[in-house]
This record gives sequence, C-alpha cells and structure tokens, in this order.
Amino acid sequence: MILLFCLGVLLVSGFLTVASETFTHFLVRPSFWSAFREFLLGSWLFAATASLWAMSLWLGLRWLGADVGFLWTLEILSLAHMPMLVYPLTIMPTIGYRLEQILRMTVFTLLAVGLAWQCDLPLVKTATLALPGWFAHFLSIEWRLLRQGGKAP
Amino acid sequence: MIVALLLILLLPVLVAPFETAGWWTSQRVQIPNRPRRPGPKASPGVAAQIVYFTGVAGYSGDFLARREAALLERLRQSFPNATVHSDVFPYSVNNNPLNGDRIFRKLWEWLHRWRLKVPNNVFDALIVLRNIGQLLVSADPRYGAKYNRGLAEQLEQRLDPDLTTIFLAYSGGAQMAVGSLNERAKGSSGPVHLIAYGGVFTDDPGIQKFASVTQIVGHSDRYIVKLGKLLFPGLWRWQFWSAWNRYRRSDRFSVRLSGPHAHVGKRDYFSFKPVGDVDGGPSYADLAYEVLQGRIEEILGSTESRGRGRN
Repeated sequence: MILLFCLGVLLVSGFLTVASETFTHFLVRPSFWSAFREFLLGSWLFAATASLWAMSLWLGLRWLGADVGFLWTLEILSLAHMPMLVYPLTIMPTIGYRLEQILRMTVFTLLAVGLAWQCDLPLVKTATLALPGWFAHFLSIEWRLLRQGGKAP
Repeated sequence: MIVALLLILLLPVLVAPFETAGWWTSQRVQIPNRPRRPGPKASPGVAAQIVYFTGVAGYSGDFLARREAALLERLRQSFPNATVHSDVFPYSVNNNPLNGDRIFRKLWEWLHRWRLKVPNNVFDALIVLRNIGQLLVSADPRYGAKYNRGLAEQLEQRLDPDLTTIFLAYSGGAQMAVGSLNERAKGSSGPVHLIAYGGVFTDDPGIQKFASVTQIVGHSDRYIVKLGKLLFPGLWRWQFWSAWNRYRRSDRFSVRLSGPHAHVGKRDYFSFKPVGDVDGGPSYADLAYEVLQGRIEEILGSTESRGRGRN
C-alpha cells in the first residue's frame, strides 16, 4: 500500500513536471508536433533518469553498508518528489523559473536528509550519493529547455 | 478569500507569457527567413535619438501622463538636434497598447478611465501587475529572447542603427531597454546609452551592451529600485561574476543623486510640485531634469568629440 502511494506521488509529480515543461516548451516554440514530441521525450527522460537514480542510490547505499531493498529506495525517492506537485506554477515568468530551482533543491534536500535519517548515515555521504542522479534527473530537462528558450532566430 | 484575491492578483503574471507565445506563433514562419530591416536613416543634422520607456503603470505608446509628456517636450526643446521617440509601448511584445486588439481590452479601458478620474486607485494595481508580468517575461531566461526580439524589432523600425541612441527609462522601463538591446540586430554601430529614473534592473546580461548606464535616483527612492534583488540572484553583491556586478564595477556605470525624490507620488521625478513647498522654487521635475540634462549633454559632447577625432 505504501509502495503504491509512493509510486502514485512519483507518477503524478512526474506527469505534472513533464506536462508543465511541455507547456513551457510550447510557449517558447509554439508547435503542436514539437510539443507532443517534447512530452514523449520528457516522459521517457523522467522515467529513465528516475529509475537510474533509484538504482544508483540503492547500489550506493549497499556499498556504504546500509541493508536496504530497491523498493524501499524507490519509496524514499518517490516521496522526495512531493514538492514537485506544485510544478505547474513554474510557467510563471521569472518567479516560476526561481520556483523551479527551489523545488529541485528541495527534492534533493529531502532525499539526502531522508536517507541519512533512515539509514543512519552521515548527511555528507547521502548528499554525495544523491548528487549525480539529481543532476541527470533534473538538469537534462532544464538544459534542453534553456537551449531552446535562450535564442531567438 | 485571501487565496482568491492572491490568485486574481497573480493571474496577470501567470498568463503573461501567452502574449509572447501568441505573437511568436504568428511570426515563427516569417522570422527565421525575414532579414532584420535596417532602420530609417535619420535626417541630416540629427545627432542622437532619445527613446523613452515608461514605468510599469504604462498604458500605451501613445498615451503618456501629462507630467511625462512635459518631460519629453522639455527634452525636445533642450536638444533640438535629437529626435525623441515615445511611441513604443515596452510592455507589449508587438507594441500593442492595452486598448489595442486584445481580449481584455474593455477591462483595461475601464481601469484606465478609472485611474484618470481617481489617480493611484486600487484598480491601478491590475495594470501595474499586468505590466510587471511582461517585465518578468522579458527577464526570464526561457521566454525573454522571444519577447525582447519583438521589442527590438519595434525599435528597429524607428531608429537609425548608426546614430547614438539614449534610452531614458523610468522604473521597470530600464529592464525593457536592457532586454531589447540584448536582441539588437547585428551591424548596428551607434553607441547606446541608458539613463534610468529610479531604474529597476534585473540580472539580464544585455546590460553589457550599453556604452554607459546612469541611474538617477532620489534620496527617498530606497526600496522599489532594489526590488530586483528579490528575484534576481545576479544582482546580489556576492555574485561578483554576474553580468550585472561586472558592469556595476566598471566605469561605464554610474549613480547620480537627483535630490529628495521618491519613486512614485507627489515627490517623484516628474512632479510639478515645488520642492519643500516653496512657491516659485524648483519643482521635483526640475531637479531631476537638471541631472538628466547634464548627463545627456555629457554623452552628446563625448560623441561629438569622438566624431571630430575621426574626421
């Protein structure tokens, strides 16, 4: 039941994130075909990077000596995505852009603190462990969006 | 109730990017293939062009408050060899005034009528918020390039690209000037200066393209000019590498105190009210204008001497 709830949070936050990113993409490049492609690509990227992130966390935690299961790691990762439920507000100009950065930082902080607390590990270690996956998960989308938004042909 | 009120107030900001998106949709086929038009050549004898960008309470390119119109008239008289342009509404990507062809035209017209009857009434806030939304679009790294491109095109249709250009911007107009210059057409050779009356800046890297930026600010204008720091980390002093901070440290940036001015109200930079209520004494507008005139004379003087140096 808990796993289903956590996966639900991840699914909804993922959908809201990708849908909002697609909408922003549409505002920057108004083309339905391009937006549709962006939605598919964004969904795939979000799911793939979330899975890889969970996998890297699980392997890392095992390596650090914490006896945790993959599904448990996935639950923690999913719950850390809770702040992303307000992601649609990020379409607001400038305020939304800053909010986006705050939300991403919050996800990272929640995850690092949650892992440190639950696995009884130093915060520095869990933060270092969470960092590569966080970069891949969020900044890949951000980089693509900024690349499109930052230029006017 | 409070949440509903907040949502109503945030709505103009939330939907602000849609205007740019709509314009971009209509232009996206033409823009990549459309060559940037060189601007009209100025008449012989014209030494500079002054562009006025109003603050976030602006309504259209054609409508200016009486006090702002008086300032521009004064500029025309003081600098007969300069053209003064005030017909670009900086808070619209395609210079569409609030009473132009838009869905909420009736609302904006109604609000505007109200504020002409009762200045600084509460409904004024909606126009201000709507324009702040456009300012935030201009400063946003995702939407800004498109918005600023539209604004730059409006200016290109009016300005000689090889002549000295002086932006005179009030409050949020400063960011719009910075944004538009960031998307200026390649090949424009005239130096561009910015003089801001209580300018509200963001960390837009376009500021690097100005030959000089002068912030004219009053003693009592303490808070609004610093509002940008709330949203733009590039304005924070410790981010010494940001475009803004690098420019601020350079000798191209200067701050000049105008006197006891406040940002808005009866003591603002355009006010006809005499300073200290002394009859016959200089008005707040006079004090600010003195500083402005001095700065424009410096710019035109240096441009002239450079021109002589080349000849």
